[in-house]
Amino acid sequence: MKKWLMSVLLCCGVLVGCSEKTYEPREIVSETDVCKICNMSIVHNAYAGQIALKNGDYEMFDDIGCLMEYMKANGEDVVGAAYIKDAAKNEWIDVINAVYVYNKDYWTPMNYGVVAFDSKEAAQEWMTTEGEGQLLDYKDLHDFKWGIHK
Amino acid sequence: MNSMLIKLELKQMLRSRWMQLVGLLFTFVFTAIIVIQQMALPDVDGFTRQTASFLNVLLFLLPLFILTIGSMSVAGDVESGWFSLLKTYPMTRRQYIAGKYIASVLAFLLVVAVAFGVILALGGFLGGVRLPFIFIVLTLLCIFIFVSLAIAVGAFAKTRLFALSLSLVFWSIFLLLISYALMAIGTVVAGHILQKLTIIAIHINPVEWLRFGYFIFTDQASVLGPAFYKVTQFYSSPLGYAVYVAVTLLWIVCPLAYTSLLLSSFGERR
Amino acid sequence: MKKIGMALLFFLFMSQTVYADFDVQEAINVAKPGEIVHIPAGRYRGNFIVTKPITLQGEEGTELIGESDKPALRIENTTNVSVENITLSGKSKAIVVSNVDGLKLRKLQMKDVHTGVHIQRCKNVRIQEINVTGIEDHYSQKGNGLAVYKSEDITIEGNTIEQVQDGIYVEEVKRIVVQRNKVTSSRYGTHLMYTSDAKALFNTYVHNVTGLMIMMTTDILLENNTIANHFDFNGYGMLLFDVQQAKIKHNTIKNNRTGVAMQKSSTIQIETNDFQMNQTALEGTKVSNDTLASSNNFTGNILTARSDQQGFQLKNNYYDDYSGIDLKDNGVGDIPYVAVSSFGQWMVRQPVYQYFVASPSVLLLTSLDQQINKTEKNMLVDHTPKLAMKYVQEKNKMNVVQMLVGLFLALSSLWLWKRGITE
Repeated sequence: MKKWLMSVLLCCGVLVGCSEKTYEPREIVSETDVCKICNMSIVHNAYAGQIALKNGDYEMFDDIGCLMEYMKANGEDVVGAAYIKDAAKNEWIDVINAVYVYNKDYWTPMNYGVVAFDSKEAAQEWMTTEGEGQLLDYKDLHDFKWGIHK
Repeated sequence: MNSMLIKLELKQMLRSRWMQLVGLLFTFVFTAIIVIQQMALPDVDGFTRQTASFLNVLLFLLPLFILTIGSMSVAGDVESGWFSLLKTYPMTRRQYIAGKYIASVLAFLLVVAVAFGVILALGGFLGGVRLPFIFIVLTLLCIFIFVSLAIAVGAFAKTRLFALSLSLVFWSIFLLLISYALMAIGTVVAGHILQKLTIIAIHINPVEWLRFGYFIFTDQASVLGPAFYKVTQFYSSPLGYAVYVAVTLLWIVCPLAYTSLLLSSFGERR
Repeated sequence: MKKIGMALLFFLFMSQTVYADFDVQEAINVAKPGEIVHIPAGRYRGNFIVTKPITLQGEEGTELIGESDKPALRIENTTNVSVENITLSGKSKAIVVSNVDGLKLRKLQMKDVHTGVHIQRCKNVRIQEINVTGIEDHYSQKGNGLAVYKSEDITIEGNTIEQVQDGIYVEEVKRIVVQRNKVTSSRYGTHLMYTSDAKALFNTYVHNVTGLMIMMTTDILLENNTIANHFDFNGYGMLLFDVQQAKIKHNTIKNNRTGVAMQKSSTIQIETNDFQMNQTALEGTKVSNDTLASSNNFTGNILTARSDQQGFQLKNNYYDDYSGIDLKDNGVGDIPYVAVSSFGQWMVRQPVYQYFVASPSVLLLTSLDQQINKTEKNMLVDHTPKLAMKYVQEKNKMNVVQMLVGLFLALSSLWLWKRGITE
């Protein structure tokens, strides 16, 4: 019995150990991934976000708005790293480094109208085709009023 | 020689009052659950309360009966000197174990056959009661695995009383304690660790293994939740089926091999 | 010889696919406002556009095929347009309607399309008897069956939709009625977002991921719907997220992973519904105190209700797993029904626990719980559980073969047993 307990504890230790340090984004599994906040299944991958928690768990989000709501509710202390998809390239980028563009007419899964890019140039390019928007950075998102704007 | 032994063992098992009582109880409980639930509830496919209760009765009762009766039978042989007597005959240890295993499996098959026969008959009479094929398969697997475990427990215990208590300990560990331990651990560790521990538990706990098999083979893996998507996906593939069969065989062979080891050391000491 | 044969075949094929005698776009162009444009049977390739108040009428065998990745039919910036009796196909959207006041779509068939009907910024829309069948693929690769954006006064009735992402997707719409539709094998049966004053009546949702997905919506009535078999990963019969003022009445909610889930919602009334054979019937997280489930029937659910710390109210419901009795004979159980169970609450907090649903250990735990939690006064407790339930018992037919097989099995085993002893 003691041996069992030991091995279980050891396993726990190993599992915890493995998942610390680096926080890599994981791929979206469309069969099972749903937004932690609003429960919608993640189908529009270009807008998806994810948080790698410090304990090794991942939380997926369908929209940057939901991700920020999770941050607000749970505090940033538990967050190891947060990623958002570059809307143009469909690649994961760190939320802190991302450039955001807001326009109430941009469609996003939750219709919050905020999309993310890896650079200002990419954002400019997006705006030339999809319409002018307001440039934001990660800090602006904290006091951004999420919801649809009339 | 071997068939003689099987016949003798089978006769002894079937004669025991305990076995007859178990047969009666088993039939009664199963029939009651199936008939009452099926009559009261609409018939739908998928994982429902009635399939859950059927599965649970199976997992609760069958291992308990098999472990206690099987282990006590082997321990009884050792305790009463019957095993020592048998060893004076030209019979190998392997033959004894195989004979014991086959006899016990046959005895429990008979018990289950009576129970299922009554369910089918009564269900046919009332209508609307079915006995899904998967339950029959699961029952067979349950018998195969737990008879093997019971023989190992009996050989380890060597006295009937110790065998009984040891079976109860094993039964409660498999049925309850491992799950409770996992649930308790789950309240403090992260989700992905709980998920990995649960996957380990599925493989080291024959009860969970059978339960898991039920969900896999009925295509209801989604009941277990999205956290186990990848595992259930793997076990739903042809390779996964092969692994399932292999692990099940290990569960049957390993305890028997261990028994052989135990009994050989027992012989040498005398 | 072979070449000629091939050429002949080619011409045969061509003459079937292209009906060159009638130019649909030309007919639309010359039609005067208010006129009916009749399109004879045949297959027409192109991307057609309507910008004036006319009626497009097809007949059996009239098919519009959208070319490249553009919609087959566009209707824009006009009033009072009707389209009926036409089959539409193509890789992209079948119909896109923008800025139209007064639109009627009737009896349209759409096959293997990405999206069926896409409507934006319209008023007074009526969509009836449309069939949409999407492509065979994972739902993340598809579009919606009927999608309505930023519109007002919409009626969607009698449509049949299968194999799409969301059967009926509604975003930023005021006053909408969705009734007598049937949505199967899609992601969400009906998906409402940022909508107010919505009604969903007499719809049937079967085997989607989620039947009714209602988000950020106020003032909604869900009545007489049948919602069944949503038991896949993350499946819900209904999911209400950030919803205010909802009435959920007379629905049949059967065989779902979770029957009705409410999150971040307030003022929700769940009355007179039948919850049958769900893994979890009712779930509430962050719902306001005035959320009430009353006069429902709960039969055959593995877990009746679960919630976070806040809980919600249960009143006058019938529970088939209620163990109390009624000595006062007033039709109400004498002791409260306690739905709260530790396992249920854990499952709300940590989804991985779902693995243990209805496992032997949880079964024991739950029955212990019910003894301990009898003292529970506030959370998920029904103080007036109803006892009798009007129940239509299905007549089961006797299965003679099964009975005989069973009898034979039982008797022969017993005989074998007897023989094993005596011999």
